[in-house]
Amino acid sequence: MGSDFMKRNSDPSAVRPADVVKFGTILAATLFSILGAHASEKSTVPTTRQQAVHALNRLAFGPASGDVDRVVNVGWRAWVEQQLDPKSIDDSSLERRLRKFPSLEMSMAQTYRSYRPPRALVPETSREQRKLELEKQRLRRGLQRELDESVFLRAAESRRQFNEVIVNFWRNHLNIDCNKSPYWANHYEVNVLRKHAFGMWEDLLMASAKHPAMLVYLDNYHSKKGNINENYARELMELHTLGVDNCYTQQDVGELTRVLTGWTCFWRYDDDGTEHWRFIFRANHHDSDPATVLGLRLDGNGGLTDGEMAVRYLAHHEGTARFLARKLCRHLVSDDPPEALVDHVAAVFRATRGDLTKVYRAIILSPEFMDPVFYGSKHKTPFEFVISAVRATGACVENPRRTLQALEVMGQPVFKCGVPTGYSDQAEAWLDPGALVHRWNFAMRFANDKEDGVAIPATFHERMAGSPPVEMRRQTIDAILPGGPGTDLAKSLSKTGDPRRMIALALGSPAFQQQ
Amino acid sequence: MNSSRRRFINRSGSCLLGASTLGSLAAVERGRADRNPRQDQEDPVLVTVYLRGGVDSLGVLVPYREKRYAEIRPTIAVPAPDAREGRVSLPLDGTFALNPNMPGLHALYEKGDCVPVVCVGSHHSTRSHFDAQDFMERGAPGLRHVKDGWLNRYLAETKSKRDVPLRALALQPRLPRSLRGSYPVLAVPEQGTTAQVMDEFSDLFGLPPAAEGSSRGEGERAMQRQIRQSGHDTIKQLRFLNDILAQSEGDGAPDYPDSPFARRMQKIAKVIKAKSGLEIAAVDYNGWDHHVDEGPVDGNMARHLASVSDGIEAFARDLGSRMSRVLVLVMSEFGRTVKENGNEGTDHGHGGLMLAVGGMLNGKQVCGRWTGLEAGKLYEERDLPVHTDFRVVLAETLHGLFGFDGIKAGLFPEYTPTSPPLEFMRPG
Repeated sequence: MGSDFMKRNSDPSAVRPADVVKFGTILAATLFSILGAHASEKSTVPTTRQQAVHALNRLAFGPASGDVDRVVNVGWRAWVEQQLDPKSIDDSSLERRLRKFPSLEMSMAQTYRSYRPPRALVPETSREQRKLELEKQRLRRGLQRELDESVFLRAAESRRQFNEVIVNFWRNHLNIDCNKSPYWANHYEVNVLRKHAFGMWEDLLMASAKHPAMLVYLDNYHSKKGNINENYARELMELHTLGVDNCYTQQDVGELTRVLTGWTCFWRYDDDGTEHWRFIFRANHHDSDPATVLGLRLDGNGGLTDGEMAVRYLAHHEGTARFLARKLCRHLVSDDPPEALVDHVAAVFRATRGDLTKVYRAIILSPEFMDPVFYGSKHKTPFEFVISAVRATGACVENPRRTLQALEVMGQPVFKCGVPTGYSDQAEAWLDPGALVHRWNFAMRFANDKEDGVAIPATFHERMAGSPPVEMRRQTIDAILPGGPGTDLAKSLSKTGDPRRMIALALGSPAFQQQ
Repeated sequence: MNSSRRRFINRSGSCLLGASTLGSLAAVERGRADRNPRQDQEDPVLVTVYLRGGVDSLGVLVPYREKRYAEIRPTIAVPAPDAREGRVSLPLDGTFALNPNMPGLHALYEKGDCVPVVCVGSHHSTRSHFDAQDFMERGAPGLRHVKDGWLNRYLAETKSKRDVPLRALALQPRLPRSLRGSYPVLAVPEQGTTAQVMDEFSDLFGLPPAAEGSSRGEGERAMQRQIRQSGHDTIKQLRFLNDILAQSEGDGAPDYPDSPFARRMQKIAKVIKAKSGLEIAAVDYNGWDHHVDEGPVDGNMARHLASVSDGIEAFARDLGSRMSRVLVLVMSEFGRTVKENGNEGTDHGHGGLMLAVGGMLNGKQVCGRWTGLEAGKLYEERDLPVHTDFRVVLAETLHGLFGFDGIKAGLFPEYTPTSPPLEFMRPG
C-alpha cells in the first residue's frame, strides 16, 4: 500500500501539500484551477462498475436500483459534480412527501405553539394536571417523530444523496440530543445543518453556536458572569473546532467561557400573543473583563462581537483545518486516512477559508478516494446499514417507526446520541461481538415483510418468484451486492430456493456490512 | 473442577500468544508466576460498573466535618449525619458519610463488604469526558497509541486453548472501551435472540473466510476478515450465553429493584451462578454529568445513586456467600468541581472516587489520602486532587482476585507505581 501511494504522490497533476506550503499564500483561485484541471484531465476515462459502486457506497447510502448503470453512463466524476451542487438535482417527489412533516417548515416560535398544549389550559385538579402532562408528552413525541422519520426518509429516498451523507456527518460533528433540546431539534436540522452544509464552515459553526438547541444542549444558555458553565466552551474547542490534541489549556476553556457568557436564548409573549424564540445576547450577564483565548486578545468592550470574534477565530484556526480535514477524510475515505491526503485537504480548507463544497471536492477528486485499496474498507454504521438495505431493495418507506426502533437496538437512534461526540463512523466502535445479531434480526424481519411500514415492494418478489433458483440468486446479488459477493454467500444462497431467505442472507452477509 | 479453573492451572505455551502486545515474554512469565488460585475456592469474578459523565465525589462521600463544605455548596451540600434537618448522610469512618440515598451500600460498609476510595483518578490533566474515560479504560493516560482496554489486555494475556466461550461479557449494545481489543468479548443487550437467527447465519460467519478472489482490494479483505471474525465470535458466545440463561430459568433469585441497572446485575448474577467460568462483566451507567440541578439529596443524582446502591445490594444478596470471590468495582472518569457552579450543579473536575464491594475486602475503612477542602490543597484551586493513581486500584484488583500481577506483566504501559499501595483487599 505504501509504495502504491508513493507512486501516486509523484503524479504531477495532483496538488500536494508541499506545493501549497511552497507557495504559502497561493490564491484560492489558482489552487482550484489546478484542481479543476486535474479533475477534467481524467474525466475522459470510462467509469468501471466497481468505481460506480464505490462512489455510491461512500457518497450515497449505497446503490439503489439502476444507480450503478446511471453512474457508469455519466461517468463518476460528472455524477460527483452534480451531487456537489444538490440544488441542481430535482428532488420534488421527495419534497412532496416531506409535506407531512409540517414542523420542518416552522419557526421555533411556531413549533413551540403547535406542539404544546394551548396556554389557556390551566389545570385545576391533579387529574387534569396529569392529563395535561400526558398531552404534552404526546405532542412532543409527535414532533420528534417528524424529525426522525424525515431524516430516515430523506436518507433513503433523496436523489441528493451526497447532501444526505454529509448532513449526517455534520449531525454527528455538531451533535445535539433530542431528549435534552426537544423543541428546537427540528429547526436546528433544517436551519443549521441543512442550510449550511454546502456553505462556509464559519457560518455553519456560528449558526450552531447561536442556536437554542445547542445553547440548551451544552448548557451555555445559563452561563452568566460570576456563575459560569464551561460545558459548551470546552466542547466548542475539543469537539467542534480544534480537537482534543490541540494544546489549548484549562485557562483557554475558562477564558472562552467568560467570553461566551450572556449567549443565551429567550422566549416571551408580546401583548398581542405573538411568541418569540430566538438567540439573544444578554449584556447584563456578560463578563466584560478582557480575555485571551489561544493568544487572541479581546478587550472585553465588544460584548457580543467579542464572542463572535472568538468563534470565528476558532473556525479559522490552523488546528481546526487539520482536525476537520482528518475527520472528513475518515468519513469519506478510510478509518485511517493517508497523512498526505489529510495534509492536502487541510491546505485546501485553509486556502478556501473553509468553503465546504471545495473541501468535499478536494477529498473526492483526490487520487486516494478512488484507490481500490479503500474499496469496501469501511464498516457501515447501523444507520448506513439499514438505509442501504432499504435502497438496495427499493423498499417503500411509509412508516419507519419500527425500523427506527431497530436502529435504537443497534445503538444508533436518530438524534439521540447522549454524548456530544456524536456517533462514531469507525469500524471499531460497531464491531463488538453481539452487534451483528441485531443486523441479522433486522435482515430476517425486513426480508419477510415484518418491518411494518418499510416494505420491499411486491414487484421485487414477483420478479424473482417465477424464476429458477439460479436466476433468483443472480437477481438477489445484482440488487443487493452489485460489487460482487463473496463465494461463501453464493454458496449459502444456493442452499435455498426461497427468495425471501436469499434476501435476508445477502443483507446479513459480511459483504453487505462493508462499504 | 470446572473448565475455567482447569484453564487457570494448565497455562501452557499457547497463552504466550498475547505477549507480543505487551512486550517481552519474560515480563509475562513474571506476571504469571504470582498467580496462585486457591483450589478450594470458587472462580473469582470482577464486575466493573462505569458511571459515565464524571460523578461528583463530594455528593457521594460527604466530608461532613469540613467547614468549607456547606459554604462552597450552598444549594447542593448533603446534610451531615448530625444535621437537624434534611435527609442526613450515613456516617462511615468519622471523616466521611455516605449519601442518604445509598442505605444498601452503607449496610455493606458496616459488614466490611464495601470500601470507598477517595481522591483517586488519573494524574493526566484532561477534563474531557471522552479522553478521561478512554485513558482510564485503556489503563494508559495520555498514551493515544494504546487502543485496547486494560481488561481486554488481561484476557489476551492469559488466554489459552482451554478458554471457556464467555470469559467476559457486557450486557449492553456496545462494549465499553475497557473490554475492546483483540480478545473477543460479547456485548448483547437484554433482548434475547432466537437460535434460529444464529443457525441461519452460522454458515456465512461460522467458517473461516474462504480465500476470496485476489482481485479484491487489501482494505476490503481486511474488513471482511474482521466482520467474519466478529460474527463467528458472536454466534459461539451467544449460543453459550443462551444455554446458561435457559438452564437457570426459575431458580429462586431474590427481588431486584425494577431498574435497567438492576436487571443487568441480575443477569450477570445468573451467569455467575451457572458456574460458566465468567471472569469479567462490565456495566455502563450513563448520566452523571450534572452541570445543572445536580440534586444529590432528592434530585437527579439522588435517583441515580439510589439505583446504583439498590442494584448492587440486591446483587450481593443474590450471590450470598459466593460474594467472597466476587468484586464489584464502581468507577467514573473524574470528580467534579469542589464549588457548585451557577446552576446548582458542578463542572468537570479532577480527583474522584471508586467503590469496591465484595467479600474479600479490608473493610470498615475509607481508603485513600484525604487532604481537605482548603483552596491550597486543591488541584488548580478548584478540584479534589488525585492522591491515588487509578491503576493502583486496578492492579490490586487483578492481583487480589486473579493472582495476576499486572505491573510485572506490563499491563499498564509506561507505568511505574508512585502512589503507595492501598491494600483494600485481603490477601487471597
